[in-house]
Amino acid sequence: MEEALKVVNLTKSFGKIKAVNRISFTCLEKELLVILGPTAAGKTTTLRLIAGLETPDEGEIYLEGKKINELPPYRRSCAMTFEDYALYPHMNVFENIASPLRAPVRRGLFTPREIERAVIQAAKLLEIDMLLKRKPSELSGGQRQRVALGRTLVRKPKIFLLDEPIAHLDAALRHRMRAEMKRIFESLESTVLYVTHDYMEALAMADRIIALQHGEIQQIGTPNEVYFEPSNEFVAGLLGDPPMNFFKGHVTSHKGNWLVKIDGVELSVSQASGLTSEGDVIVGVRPADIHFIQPMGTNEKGLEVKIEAVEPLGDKYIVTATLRNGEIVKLKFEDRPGVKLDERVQIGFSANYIHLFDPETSKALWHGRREG
Amino acid sequence: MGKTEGLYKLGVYLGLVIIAIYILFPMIWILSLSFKVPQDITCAIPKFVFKPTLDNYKSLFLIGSLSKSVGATTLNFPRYFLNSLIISGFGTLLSLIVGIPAGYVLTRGRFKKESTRENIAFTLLSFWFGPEMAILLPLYKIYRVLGLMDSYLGLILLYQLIGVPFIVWLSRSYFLDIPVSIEDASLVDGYTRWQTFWRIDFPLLKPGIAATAVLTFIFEWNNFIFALVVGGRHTMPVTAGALGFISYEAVLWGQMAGAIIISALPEIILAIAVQKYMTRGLTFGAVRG
Repeated sequence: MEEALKVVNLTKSFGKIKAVNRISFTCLEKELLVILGPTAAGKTTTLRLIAGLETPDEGEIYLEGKKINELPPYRRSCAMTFEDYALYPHMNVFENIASPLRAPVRRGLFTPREIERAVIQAAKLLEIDMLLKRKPSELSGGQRQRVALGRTLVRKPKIFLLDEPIAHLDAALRHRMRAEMKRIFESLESTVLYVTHDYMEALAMADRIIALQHGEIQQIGTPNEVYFEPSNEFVAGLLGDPPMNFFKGHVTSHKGNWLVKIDGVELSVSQASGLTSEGDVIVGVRPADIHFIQPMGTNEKGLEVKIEAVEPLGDKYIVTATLRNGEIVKLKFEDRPGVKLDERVQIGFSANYIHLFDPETSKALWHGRREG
Repeated sequence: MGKTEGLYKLGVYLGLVIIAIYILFPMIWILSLSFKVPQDITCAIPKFVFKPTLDNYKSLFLIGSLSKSVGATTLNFPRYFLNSLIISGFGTLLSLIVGIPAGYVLTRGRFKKESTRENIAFTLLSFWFGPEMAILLPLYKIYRVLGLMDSYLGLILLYQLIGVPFIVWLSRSYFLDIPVSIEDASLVDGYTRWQTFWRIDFPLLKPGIAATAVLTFIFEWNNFIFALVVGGRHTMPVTAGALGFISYEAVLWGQMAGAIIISALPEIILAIAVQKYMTRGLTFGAVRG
């Protein structure tokens, strides 16, 4: 596939804060690339740099092979949605959606009839064609979000830049829009750069995910790669709710067999290919990959924990417990776990499900489960 | 309706009536003066019932009739009125042309040092704190040297000291109420910053601009001291011109009252015309969609 967008060493500071620090990535044609990161990771700044709303301190931006650094925003052929929708309050829905087509840079490209047809087509796609006469103040949050999306869909930009487009919708609508947007962008065969802080949105929609923190790229990969083989502790903690548990551990090698010791208990990590040296590690386990060990059931070795809280969340249960050394562990179950508050129980997890990280650099050393 | 509620309402209305009388009485008094003959004006016990006359107004517009009655002084009220219109009208226009873009830049512009923005804005505002008297002497000297004495241009430029800071500060607060993201959206949609200003900011600002323009016009119209010092025979506006009714020989109370009523008319008419914008414009935040 062709490269649609290429960003090289992009850097932008605001005062002393480096909002975006030497980031490089490419977005392929027809790809839905998600930038995932917490607040103030530099996600929005990255989009604004590409759209031309900010000037980079360093670095180059190429759109379909052409360097666009020097172009003003209105010549860049990027369509963008904003987190607060940014609808024009004095124009009705029709005028809002028609706005890009009426821009002077596109003068003469569309007749009034073509504009009308395009607006209605975009509005129908988003199911807001009955609202065309309304002002933004007369719309609900979900409708405003659709109008904002309509304003980008009405043109055929080289790339869509979507900034948290569904973050402020209620949960049910967010779910619906997530699926709908994916369908729409797939059917339009569009190239999309999508910013979100919601890992589920990222996993559900992305062809590839860029994990961003402090303005630096932590990992670029498919949703599976990012979820199952996170490149460092940050990425591992970014995806999942509750996030991955991290324990202090120690790796030893015994006759070609690798052992991981956590809180005084040793686990065998049989196929630890890739592990090269002994020493301290950070052990990561997702909450759903931990189970309770029945006292007299197996001879499986477990870690002793004290139950601190059990939160029933409808379709799942979150259990909070502490290890003997005081570290906190979260567990996730689909059925009600048969444990009581303050009870001391054993937990265990398969070595296949753990991730090992370097305690100094927090980089991943080894992943238990390899998908695909 | 309960008895206490009725009493409460009565109290409120009574209070409003007292306030209305307090505010309106001087105006009504001036209005009544303008229809009185000199004997009715100067009599010891104020007359509330009198035979109205239009002589005061007639003499204001008949040049020559006044000069007779004030001896050597030539009063030309229609000319003063026209001068006021020209100076305040063009003064307000220039203040808007300079002040609104300045307000825009001081809100949206990027400054190397963020404090620069506030420093400039504050310096402009400080023109309003300083007593006008303080600058009169150097101003007089400068205007003499530049040949700006008794010229429309001189007065219009001077009135920018009143208009520009006011408009900059008001328009800044209006611009702050317009979310930056809708300007960004317009830029991405394919409009230049200039087009965006006219297409997005201006329509949203219109009520605010109307209210601001009227207030600026009134402030400039009401200015007295600048016109007195750098104005002259050709450019005297009504405020300074009204002094001419007080002379060595006599004080023409009736004509002066008539002149005051007529010179207040444009302000009153403008204020009524943009009344609906006034309340909306000065409480602008509600525009956001």
